[in-house]
Amino acid sequence: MPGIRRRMIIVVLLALSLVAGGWWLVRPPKTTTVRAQLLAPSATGDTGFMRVDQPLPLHFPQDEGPHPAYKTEWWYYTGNLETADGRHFGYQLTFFRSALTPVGLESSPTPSSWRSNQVYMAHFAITDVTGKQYYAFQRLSRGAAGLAGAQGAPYRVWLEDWLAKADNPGQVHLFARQEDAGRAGEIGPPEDIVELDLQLHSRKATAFHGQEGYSRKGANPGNASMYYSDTRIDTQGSIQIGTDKFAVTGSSWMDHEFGTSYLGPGSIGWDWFSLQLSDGREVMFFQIRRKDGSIDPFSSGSLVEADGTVQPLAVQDVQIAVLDNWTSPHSGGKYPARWRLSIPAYQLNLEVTPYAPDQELNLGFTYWEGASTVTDASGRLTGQGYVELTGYAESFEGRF
Amino acid sequence: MQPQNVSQHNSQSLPDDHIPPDIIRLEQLSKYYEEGGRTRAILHAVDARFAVGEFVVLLGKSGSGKSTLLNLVSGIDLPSHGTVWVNGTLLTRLSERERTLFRRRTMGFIFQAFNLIPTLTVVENVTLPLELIGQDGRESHRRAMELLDAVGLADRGNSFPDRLSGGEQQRVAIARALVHNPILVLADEPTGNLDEETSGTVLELLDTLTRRAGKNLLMATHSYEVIGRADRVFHIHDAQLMEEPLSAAGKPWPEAIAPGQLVIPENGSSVIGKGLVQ
Amino acid sequence: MSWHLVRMSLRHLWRRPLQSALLVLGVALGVAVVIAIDLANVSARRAFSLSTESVTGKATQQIVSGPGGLDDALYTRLRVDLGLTKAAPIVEGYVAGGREPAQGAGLSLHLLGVDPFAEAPFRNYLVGNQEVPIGELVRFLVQPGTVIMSRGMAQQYGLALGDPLQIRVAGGTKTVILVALLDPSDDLSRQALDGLMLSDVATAQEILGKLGKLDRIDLIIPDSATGQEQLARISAILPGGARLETPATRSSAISQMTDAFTLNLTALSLLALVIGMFLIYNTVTFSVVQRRQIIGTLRCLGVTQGQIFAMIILEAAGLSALGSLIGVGLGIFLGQGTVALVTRTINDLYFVINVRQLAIEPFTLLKGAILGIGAALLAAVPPALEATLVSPVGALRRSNLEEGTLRRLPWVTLGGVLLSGAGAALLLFSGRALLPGFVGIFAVILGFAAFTPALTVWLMRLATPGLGRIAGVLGRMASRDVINSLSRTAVAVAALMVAVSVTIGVSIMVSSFRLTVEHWLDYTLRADVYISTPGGTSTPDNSGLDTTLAMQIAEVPGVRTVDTYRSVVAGSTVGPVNLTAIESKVPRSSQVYAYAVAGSEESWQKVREGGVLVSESFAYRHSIPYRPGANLTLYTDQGAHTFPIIGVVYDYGSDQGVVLMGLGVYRQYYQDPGVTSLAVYRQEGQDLTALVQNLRQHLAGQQLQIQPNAVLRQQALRVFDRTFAITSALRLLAILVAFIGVLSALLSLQLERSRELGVLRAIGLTVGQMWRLILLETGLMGLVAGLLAVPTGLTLATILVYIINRRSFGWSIQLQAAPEFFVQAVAIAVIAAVIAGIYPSLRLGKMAPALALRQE
Repeated sequence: MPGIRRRMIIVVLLALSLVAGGWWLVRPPKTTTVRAQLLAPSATGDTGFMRVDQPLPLHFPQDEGPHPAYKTEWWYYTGNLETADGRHFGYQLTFFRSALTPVGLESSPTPSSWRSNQVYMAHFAITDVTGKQYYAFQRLSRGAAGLAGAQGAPYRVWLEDWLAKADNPGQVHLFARQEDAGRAGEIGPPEDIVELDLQLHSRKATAFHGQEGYSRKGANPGNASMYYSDTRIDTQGSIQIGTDKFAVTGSSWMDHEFGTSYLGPGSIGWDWFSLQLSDGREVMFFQIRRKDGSIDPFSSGSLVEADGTVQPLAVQDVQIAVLDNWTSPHSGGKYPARWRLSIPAYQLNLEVTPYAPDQELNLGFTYWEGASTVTDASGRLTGQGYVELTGYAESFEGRF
Repeated sequence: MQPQNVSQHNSQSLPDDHIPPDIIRLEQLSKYYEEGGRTRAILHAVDARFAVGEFVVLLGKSGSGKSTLLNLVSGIDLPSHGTVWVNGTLLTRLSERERTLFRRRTMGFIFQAFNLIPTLTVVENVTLPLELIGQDGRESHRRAMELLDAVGLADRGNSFPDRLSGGEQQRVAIARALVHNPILVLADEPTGNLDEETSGTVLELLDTLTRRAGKNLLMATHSYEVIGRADRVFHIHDAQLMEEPLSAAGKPWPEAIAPGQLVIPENGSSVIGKGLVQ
Repeated sequence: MSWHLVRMSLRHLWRRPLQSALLVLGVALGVAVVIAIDLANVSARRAFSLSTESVTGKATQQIVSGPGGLDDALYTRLRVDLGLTKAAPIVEGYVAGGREPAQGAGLSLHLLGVDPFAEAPFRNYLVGNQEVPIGELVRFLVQPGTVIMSRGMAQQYGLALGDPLQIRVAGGTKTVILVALLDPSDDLSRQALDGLMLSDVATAQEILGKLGKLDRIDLIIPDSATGQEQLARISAILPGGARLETPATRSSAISQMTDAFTLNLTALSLLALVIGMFLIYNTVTFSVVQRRQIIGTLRCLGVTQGQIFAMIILEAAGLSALGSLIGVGLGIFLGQGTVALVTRTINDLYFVINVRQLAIEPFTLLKGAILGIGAALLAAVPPALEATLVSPVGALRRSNLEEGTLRRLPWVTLGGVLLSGAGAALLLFSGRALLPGFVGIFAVILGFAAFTPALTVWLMRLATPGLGRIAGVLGRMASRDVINSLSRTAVAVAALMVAVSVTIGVSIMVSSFRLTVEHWLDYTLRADVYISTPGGTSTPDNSGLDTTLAMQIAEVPGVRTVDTYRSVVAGSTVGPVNLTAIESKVPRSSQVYAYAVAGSEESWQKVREGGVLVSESFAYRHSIPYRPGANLTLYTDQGAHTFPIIGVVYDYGSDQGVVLMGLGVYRQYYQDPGVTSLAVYRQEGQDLTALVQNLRQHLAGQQLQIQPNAVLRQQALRVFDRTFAITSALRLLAILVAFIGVLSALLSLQLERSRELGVLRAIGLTVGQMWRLILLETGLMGLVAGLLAVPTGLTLATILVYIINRRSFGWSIQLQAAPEFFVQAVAIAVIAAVIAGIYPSLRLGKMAPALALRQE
């Protein structure tokens, strides 16, 4: 019975293949990335923190270090550097400290060395004028377990391997390095290294702004910070970009500022100028812009003479005219791009021009910090410096 | 006593130039069974020819081989020796499947136990053979109703067989056996499970319908009423197929035997009259 | 395609609901069990891989160390000195959450302490790809005891944001506060985050008592030259006990633990399917037998053999499709219970997983359904074949079929010999492989089943004269009837024999195992009171008791001496091992050694000097030879060190095996002062209850478990019994299905013989006598099945104990086959068979003899 045998074979084969096929269909579960949204109330605000509402006596070297009871603090290094053959670089290395909660919180009986209410953030930027490139990186860490922190004696501010450290008195070592210079979370090619390694030596005495360092920025006495600068710092060292290492020299500027709620209500940002002139003088001026377009009357600055004397500048002492604009392709913010700064009392008619238009940092917050060159209308003076523009891409009201 | 030559009989009863063609031919047909180590002969070297349209009756005791012969003629079973020709086809050379397919078209069956499919309705039982030969639904239904009408059960089409009496079931079986226009109808003890009156009705119907359609009817039975209707009567005895002689009326006796009379004819079979009407 | 045939089939199936239901039931049961076990296994695996995924994230390497943990200063060095930006610290442990958690007691929470500032490259769920949301994480970072959970988990524990939760850690209860929720983006993420509680590194260190330590540091190292250079720099500053590992090796080592266990379960589930197949074979056969006349008629009418075959097969296919569908639903339902059982066992024996719900993978369901249909088709082929052999009415008689059967008997028996021989060969020569072991067992069982017809005939012939003396004519008839209908009776006997022998074999194995474990507990649990931390999961979290506790307890009046134990998971060249360090002044029982380099006392001395002992299953798993010279390399806090293996001990606590060393040696190589448990021995004559009372008083206020010996024994045996709960269920199922199968076989048999029995009744057999005849026949069949089940069951038990168990887990078990098992076997078989004979007797008793006679 060939017919029946054939059918039987077919059925048996079918059955067996069904059984076998069923077995083979076992597939390991596909693992995916675990994704979730964090749901929590946001806790920001500045109640409970100490405020700078009057001049505070500063003692050094301790006060070079942090002031944890105040909400905000930074150590701000900027500078203009050049190689032997005239290749120009600008750099910025800023260490920010932020207190999450006022001091005096509940602690458990055996506190871990990882516990802290201080958070550190650092910005590292390089402007490569010749190469027409701008690099900006951010790091974030807790101020505990030795991962990030600051101290006055000996002076050291660090976040992981970025640091500003006094090796010897008067000599500060700045170091910052970024290995995969891609955006956060992505891995760029490992050859993309940007590194800064500088030795700083301040030539002048520290300049205290405002009233012995009590620098007001708004009507409320608490809208202020303690603010001092080293305005003329000889700098030498190296900058590495990719596989190229450049030996550079130049001049840097350091700001140390701390306080709580610098800006008063209604203030949306500021323009800040730090200019080093060829006659040995420096100018620092900030104007605070208000929501209605006006300038806050507490905008102020300082002119530091060649011998270090600090001359205060009030808002009426300085006229700033915007000569050009630049719109950021990244954030859409419309920034001023060239200024005329007139300080008649000191016969200064300065034109400030950024070395490159795009020196915008799009990091935790968006602002513009650019190396700039200075010329004086009289032609006798030149200079260089840094301009900082905040509040153009997003309002800074309530953030500082 | 020698069995009479079958063909001689035929030529005796009909004029020479009207010899009807053979529809069934058996040559040296033999069937043996193994039982407990011994060989038993059911049939041995049987020769027979049947012409178109003949009503043939097979007589014999139970177990004599009537059913076996039917099975061999229909191709259900294969002989141990010999050949079977049906309508020019050599059945014994065909494979099981070929014989099955042949059987579909050319044969109809009627059984003692009616053998209707209990899970099909009456009309479905009758259309089944038509479906097997591939006939279309509507045409099948029409033809089935035609036959059910002929057996007088047109109104019972949608009933299931368990609702019908024995006689009614056998009538459905008749319709089923003829619906697909077979050459040959094989009936194995069709009245065995029926009472006398119903038997008569059924036989009448079977005889009429097959003759009307010009089909061959080969019936195995041990009922003697049937004999009167048959064209030829055969007897299986000792593995041999023996034909009963025809009476003077051109019909096989013992139509003329009175009830109760014991007659021992020349060919060695014995018959007790069952009271047939003269 | 014959619609008449289709209609016939459908109506036939519809008109015989019990039979159709039996077939559907057979398939449904088989499919349900296979699917339930499969789903349980899949769910457990999925839970495991998801939890691994959620915890490991995208790390390419991990720095791990010995049980003492890593110094957290190492992380600071990696960040500050080496400037690594893709490194994340992890502090983790298991805690038990809540007073009465919503589902199941003792569910463990995985506390994961992370640094949100480092998480972004590794795990997406806390900080996502954007900026660290510091504003939302202020309380998390600053306030101690703050945790984050997924939304589902918070609901489970009935917590809203800001609510406190009590958790139990080793050595106490602590309160944590829920300060943020995680909202999973998809179902898999939701499952992955199940059982996870996130906290800041600081919080985890405080809660778990791991100040100054990390459990591991996750790294992402690029696959390039720079990456290699990074690895080199990292390796250079790693302290002695720390080493680099890839996450894959860790998780695969862990998941392999359960391979043997899940394979055993799957084999058991297949058994259910095979038994289901038998049920299908029987019901289809029965339906063919019922319709022999109809089939004969159809064949006459010209229905081909192929069409008949197709009809039967299609009927089976249709019903089995329905059965598979039901089986799928039933399997999902059963799966809920099975998954709880399976994860319970995995939790008890292997590692912690949390499965809150069944993972209903469509492929698993499809696989089960296809398996069911395929198996049903396979089982339906022999009866379908038999249907095609039904001759057109009249030609073939039953007796020819039976003659054929008797003639084929020697071949079947030979087949049985070959099959069991092949099975035995496979078992003996497959080394350590488990799968061939199961195939071998199946082959042996089937081989023995093939002996059944020959042995049935022999036993019946042997019994006939004896039966004649006891029960007269009926007795002789009964035994002859069994032989005469061999093609039916042998199958029923074989099926019953297989089911009973499987039951007996598994019962013997389980009871032998239990006895071995009890005996082992006797000579290892020698102390009077055991003290440890509460919590009952199998994952040691390397925390422990107060180290001065041992001294404190030794001072308590009534205490003779105290043993100290430290149990940790340590790394070795063969993967993670369970390491137990012991300090004991009480001599070990020599019975504990399966092999020792020297005598019992000397060996222990060698252990004190720096050797180790390994357990049987450890030795089996890692192919450690039982002779001097074997050794084991462990990663200690002093670097890798090779310890000589002094001996192999019996241990049934874990199938992963355990490594024992002296506590002094342990403290030498590991900076881990912790203590896991203490064993207290009482002084001569000291009352036990009083001692326990004393101890409790002395140690009041500390979260400790103080258990007398008897309680610990009970617990251990309870875990054992829980583990074998599944086999009990399956054994019952086997008997049930076999019983139904035998019932349908007997029905089929009696139906065929109804004419013969009708004749007997007509001759003058009373209904009562007929009952006696039938029950005698079925009783004889049961007896034969039972008698044959005895050697088969014993063989099965032997194979299970010495081969399957050994290859699965590495344990040696003493086979103890108490005679009561065999009495049980025969009794079950006879009772089942007799009960199965009742229904056919009822049916035949009701039938009038004349009717039976008239049936053709």
